[in-house]
Amino acid sequence: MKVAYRHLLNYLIDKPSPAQLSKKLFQLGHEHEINDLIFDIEFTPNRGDCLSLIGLARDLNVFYETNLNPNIYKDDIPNLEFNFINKAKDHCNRISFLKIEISGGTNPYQDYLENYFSDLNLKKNNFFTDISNYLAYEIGQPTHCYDSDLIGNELTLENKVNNSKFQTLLGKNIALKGEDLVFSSNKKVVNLAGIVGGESTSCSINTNSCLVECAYFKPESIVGKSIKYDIHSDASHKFERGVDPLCHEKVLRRFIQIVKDHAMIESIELYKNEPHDYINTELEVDTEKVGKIIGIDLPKDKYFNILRDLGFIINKSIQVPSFRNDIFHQNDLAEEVARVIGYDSIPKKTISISTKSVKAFTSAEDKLKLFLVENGFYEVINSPFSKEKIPNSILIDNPLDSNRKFIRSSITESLVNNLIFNEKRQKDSIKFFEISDIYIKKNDQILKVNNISLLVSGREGHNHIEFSKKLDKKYLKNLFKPFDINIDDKIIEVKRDKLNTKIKTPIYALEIDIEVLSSEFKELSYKRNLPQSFISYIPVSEYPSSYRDLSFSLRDVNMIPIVINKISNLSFKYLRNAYMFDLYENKKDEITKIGYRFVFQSNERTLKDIEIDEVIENIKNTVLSSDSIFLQEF
Amino acid sequence: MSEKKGISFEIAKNVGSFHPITNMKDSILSILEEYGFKTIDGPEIETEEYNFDMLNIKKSHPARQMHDTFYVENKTHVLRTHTSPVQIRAMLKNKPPIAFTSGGKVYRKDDDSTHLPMFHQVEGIYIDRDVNFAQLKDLIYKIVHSLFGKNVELRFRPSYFPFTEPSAEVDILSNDGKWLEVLGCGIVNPTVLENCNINSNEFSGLAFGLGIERISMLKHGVKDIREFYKSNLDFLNQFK
Repeated sequence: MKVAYRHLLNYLIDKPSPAQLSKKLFQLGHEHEINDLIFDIEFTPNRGDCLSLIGLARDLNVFYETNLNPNIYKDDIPNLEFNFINKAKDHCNRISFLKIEISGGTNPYQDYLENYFSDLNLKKNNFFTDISNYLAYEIGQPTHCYDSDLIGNELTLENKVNNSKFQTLLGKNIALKGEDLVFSSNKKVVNLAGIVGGESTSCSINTNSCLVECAYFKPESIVGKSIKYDIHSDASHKFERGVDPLCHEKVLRRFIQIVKDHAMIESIELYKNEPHDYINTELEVDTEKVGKIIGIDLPKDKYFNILRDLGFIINKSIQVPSFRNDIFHQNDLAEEVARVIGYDSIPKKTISISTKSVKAFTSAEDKLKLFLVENGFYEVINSPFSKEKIPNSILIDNPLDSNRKFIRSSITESLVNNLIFNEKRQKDSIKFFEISDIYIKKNDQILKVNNISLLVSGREGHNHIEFSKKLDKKYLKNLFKPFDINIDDKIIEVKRDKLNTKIKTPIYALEIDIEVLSSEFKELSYKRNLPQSFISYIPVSEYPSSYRDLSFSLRDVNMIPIVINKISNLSFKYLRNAYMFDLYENKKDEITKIGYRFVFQSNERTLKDIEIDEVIENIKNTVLSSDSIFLQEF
Repeated sequence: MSEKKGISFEIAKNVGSFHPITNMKDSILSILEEYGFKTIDGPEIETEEYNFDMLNIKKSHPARQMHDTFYVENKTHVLRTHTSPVQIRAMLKNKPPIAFTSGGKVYRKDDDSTHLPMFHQVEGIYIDRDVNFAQLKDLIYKIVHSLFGKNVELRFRPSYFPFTEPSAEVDILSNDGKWLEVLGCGIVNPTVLENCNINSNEFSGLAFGLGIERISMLKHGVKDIREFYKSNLDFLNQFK
């Protein structure tokens, strides 16, 4: 909600600076940003009572002296003879109508009304609607203005299934469907209750006689309707969070006063439909309990003063004001006290948890994961949403889109997508694993299985021993050979014919119940060390990488570690990685050859050959500093 | 090590990596275990009863609408929107004092540059006699100091969660002077205790929850949450 600083000051007799006000608002739990002295406040959903100038000032009354009583019309108001039929008392048990007629046009808006529109950059509509909008800002109660000449003398409120067209006063055409709370006149829907009024009965600049509706709709009767019709009105926002059921007379008298400030009133009449007395929530006075919840010694007088400043009435019990629909028990009262004291001012008390925990990260699953990581596997985590349907798939009733209609029934399909993604980024050695719950239907029950999937493709690794070896079925079998686990029949080759790729390298995968695969790891003494520090991430490039291979010939085998050391210390622009992929000994010539692959990539663009060649020359010059090392280019 | 003619030299061993979210989740769980919390798990497909009703999230609460929560199998179940139902199950099965923590995937119907439909949470709950807000503050200070260092400045703000009362959100002060939200916490709402057959006149509790992606982004300097789930080897390789 946007609140202009100078508007709020009208209700604060003390005049805090914007910075002082900001500090207090944060203390009370009203998160906000300030731009050009406009406070944009995000109230928590339980504090519908704060969604107005007076509501906010009422909460600030614990810190500042306030004036919460705007100028209202005080004379008697004759009764309105009005044929209102309430068929939805479960949704709306308090409603009032004010009929007001003016003559002779309207005067320019007084400062308080004009500033509301100009400071908040709002568009004016017509006299009566402008007052209604201002009142929602000032007091928090949404009202709706019908043109009296168009609405007639009969109105019905009902919760019913509608299958008709409805044009809102904002000009939007909607098709009503399903059950909605609506006002009807002559069997025609004229107002989507609590959301938006209809065009057919709305006020215009020519309206002289207006029927103002002021209602209390239960939040649960309004929630979801604005989303249903994609109409996000201030009224629905307020009704969803709860309004003050006892404010109608004050609001309508304020309405009259504002009209009176700007026009000649010809007549006013009031209709009230309040079949039941409102019963305020009453809570026991238990200062000790409230102090114990917070963890402080709470003096009774301090407790009472805080509650009274917030509008609570304290006698033998604590009476919750009608505008606070979020207070039900002692914990709620404790929160009121805590936020007024200030959460940051409540001293910490040492906690000692009396239960004993079992150390984690030593389970068979943890050991298996560590084993895989040490063998070059990367753990991935994928979204469980899938477009693939199998007979036992779980269907999502409200998917984000048609590609995410089902819960995946296999992890492997996700790993295949991960493989394709990385192959497109020139990755030629893929070892992935993922552990996840998999859900399927069985006999109308939802069945959970905790699976692990491993997927391999390409080279075994990026060193001279593994570079020429392939990741295949044999690799997976050998990986688990030391353990007594038979996985042979579980390893599958993933066919590439349906994949969007031209790469032919075989893909092998293994998906199995994690308990089965990890069972033999239980007794191993693997211990995973959690990271002691957290690396600063370097953004990855979206541009393709290129590589160049160099073969260094060494006359002296003792030069091997020297060359390796030199290369590992290279630091050139665009050089992302370098690894030895070949080591060959020519016994006849007594020369040892080592093959190195240098990988280049830019974060800004696709590299040109000339840029890579330049770096390669620098690498050669750095490495070839001895006569016993010479180059054989591939 | 490799060896050629008696000359030994280091070769690049192809070690993989745990996912950074796993590392962060396990690091947080490890901190909590040090304080006495026991790690437990629960299903990701839940009933509305456990995901909402037992947690005092009323039928009218916006979070229960179809635009916020994924419903499955003709609205018989939901994809859990938080890990709190795991704690409900734990409270129903165990008598206080109890201290449980759980971490895992949760789902909300969001999909943009700052929100994903799937993300991870770690939550904790402690129920005993006379558990209070001042103790909650002490625990939160300990957790946040373990994660972000002893010198980090914290701010507690009143907030609203249906399952805690009082409720708070906790911010830390970043190096550039901005307050960054890191977790939500509060005193367990007595209605939730009663729903789990725990006498709220005898016992009270504290609860807290952290978004793992949020903490990971702050700790690693990752700007876009989607990076975590691209499975890009250039990304994963940085978290060895």
